[in-house]
Amino acid sequence: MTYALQSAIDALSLGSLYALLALGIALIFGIMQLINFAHGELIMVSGYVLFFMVKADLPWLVIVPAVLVTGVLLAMAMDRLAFRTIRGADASTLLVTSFAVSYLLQNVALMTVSSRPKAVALPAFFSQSFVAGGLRIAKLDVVNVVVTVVLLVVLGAFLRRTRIGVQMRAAAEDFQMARVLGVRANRVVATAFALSGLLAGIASLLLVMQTATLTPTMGVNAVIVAFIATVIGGMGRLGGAVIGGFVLGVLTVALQAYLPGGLVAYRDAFVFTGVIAALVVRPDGLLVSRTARKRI
Amino acid sequence: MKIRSTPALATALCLAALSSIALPGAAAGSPSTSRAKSPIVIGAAVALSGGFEVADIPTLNATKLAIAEVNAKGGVLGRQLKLVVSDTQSQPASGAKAALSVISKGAQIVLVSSDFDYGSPAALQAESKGVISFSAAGTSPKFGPSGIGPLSFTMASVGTVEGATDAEFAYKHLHLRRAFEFIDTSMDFTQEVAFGFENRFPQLAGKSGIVKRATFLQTDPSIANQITQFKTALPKPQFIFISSIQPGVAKAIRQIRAAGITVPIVGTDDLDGTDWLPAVPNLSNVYFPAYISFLGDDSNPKVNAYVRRYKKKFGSSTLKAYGVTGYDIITAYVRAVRKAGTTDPTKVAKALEGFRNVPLLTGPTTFSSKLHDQLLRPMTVMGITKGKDHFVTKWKLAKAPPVK
Repeated sequence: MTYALQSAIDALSLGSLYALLALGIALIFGIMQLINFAHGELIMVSGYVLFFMVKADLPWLVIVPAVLVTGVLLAMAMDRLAFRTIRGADASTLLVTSFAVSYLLQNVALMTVSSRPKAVALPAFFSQSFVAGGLRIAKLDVVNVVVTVVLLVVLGAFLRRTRIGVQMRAAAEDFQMARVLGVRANRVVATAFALSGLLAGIASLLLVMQTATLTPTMGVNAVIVAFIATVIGGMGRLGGAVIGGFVLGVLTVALQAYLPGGLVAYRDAFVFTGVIAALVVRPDGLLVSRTARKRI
Repeated sequence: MKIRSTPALATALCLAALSSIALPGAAAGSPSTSRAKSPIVIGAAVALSGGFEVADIPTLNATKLAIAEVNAKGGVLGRQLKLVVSDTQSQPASGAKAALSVISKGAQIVLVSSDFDYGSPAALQAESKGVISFSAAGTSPKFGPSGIGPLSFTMASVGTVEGATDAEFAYKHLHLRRAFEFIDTSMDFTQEVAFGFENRFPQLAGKSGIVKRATFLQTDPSIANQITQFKTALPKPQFIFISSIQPGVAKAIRQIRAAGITVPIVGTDDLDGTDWLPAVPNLSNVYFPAYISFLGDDSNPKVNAYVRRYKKKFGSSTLKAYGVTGYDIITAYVRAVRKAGTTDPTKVAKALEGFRNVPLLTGPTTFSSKLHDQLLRPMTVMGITKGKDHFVTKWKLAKAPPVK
């Protein structure tokens, strides 16, 4: 029983992290039909900023906002420099461009900071746990879940209550019509990128606090997980991305916890078999978008 | 073209005869004095960029140090050693090109990357050209007759040696009987080390010696569940064997210690180096096998002297324990060339295969016609206490571990 409860806590924490990653991808996809594979590099660059600031002994009150701002600025730069000019292009062009940006940033990091993993010296808080009746709840687990829930609430309010948020949802529904009605396309897209950059910055903080290590390729796995979570959750819907993230996290932990010894090494094979099964049953994802029709 | 006049033909023949005497070392049968002046070319087709250079540069630097020292003492067979390097860019295709490049410059031995995936393209090219390939720290026995071929060697120890060393050290030195395994299944090396541990530890502690085996991947951000399995395992494990490499192993040990688990941890030689220690502040009770101690506290004074000379020439940032294999390659090659009396690769390979416990900095080294990798050379057990590395002991295995 304790094992099951503990596994549930572990699953919730991992699911929150995956949901956060998936949100960043879904935000951009909803509006631009672009899977930003360079989202992982937003996380990676923010992570290195964190590393260098910790090394310079700056106070956390400075480091946390700096990391978030890095994510936002880099994402907006990506939009302005790489994606704006190809905005109406074929989906494959958008995809290849995002791969190119991703690859470029990884290799710049490789050339400047080297491929040797960097270790971040973090305060003890990030390694501590609450222990209650045989259950171990890492303080970071609590942070993961709380941050994700708060973000969802705030993001939801932003998209429903603010002008730019409503415009973003309109653009996600029907980009052409929104423009006809006076929505400024550039502003909406830039805001979406800024938001996804903010999410990347937060995800970077959580990931680095968990692992205390950095490599130039640390974003690659994160973005693949985010992409898969978005697909199984239902592309184009933010709620879907969150659900997809939780499903993936829970499935991963459940299989890790309950697969027999000989098979647990193939855990990911089972996870992705599950993903394939989910997509066979519901090809458009678990939450189908209202506008899940091919855009002309 | 017909030569029309006899005088023109005669002139041509005279000129040809004169030029063959005048040009130094031109003809195959030229006197040995002119051949002896030409340097022995040591080729290195290793990664200088692309990611893997962090592993190859420490060994390449050690090679450069060894070559400089050999040359200062007069070289080999009256000839100086000359290093020619070509960048594999951490890519297989470029690896093959790099090998061909150094071979075309006269290399009869090619140093290759310290990993089979990165180093095999260059090694295969060398083998096909009848030239020796030598990996510094690549543990795979496929650098040898069972893989690349009879001209391929490695200065490393087979991966299972590390696992067997961990098993014997935990049982005999730390007196521990019940192990819990964290196995990183992302790559061959970690699975080989695990195989060595899983073969030796039950031989010492019985079938119940290994309480449970948990697996994880380099890319897992969290091993929370595996830690839960440790905490709920019965009978209670007394130590953890973790077979993983950086950065996964730093992440894992961080989370293990964060969960309040204080039992001893034994790992692979990738725990060598101080870069990752900030991730787990004030770490204690961790042990791992390495090739030497890079701290100057090794029990072999020659190793400590090497460390001093390396630091003097290259500084500390690229000083790694496994780097010493790059130094030992040159020592071994020089010895084999002297024994064979030639740089002919087949004869030098035969001389290398005659090595029985040859004292190198990494330890007594043996090659045979079946295995060009180490099974019985003692490794150096290092410990981490209060966040600092230190030498613990040299460990001689009771018997040879299996080759996977």
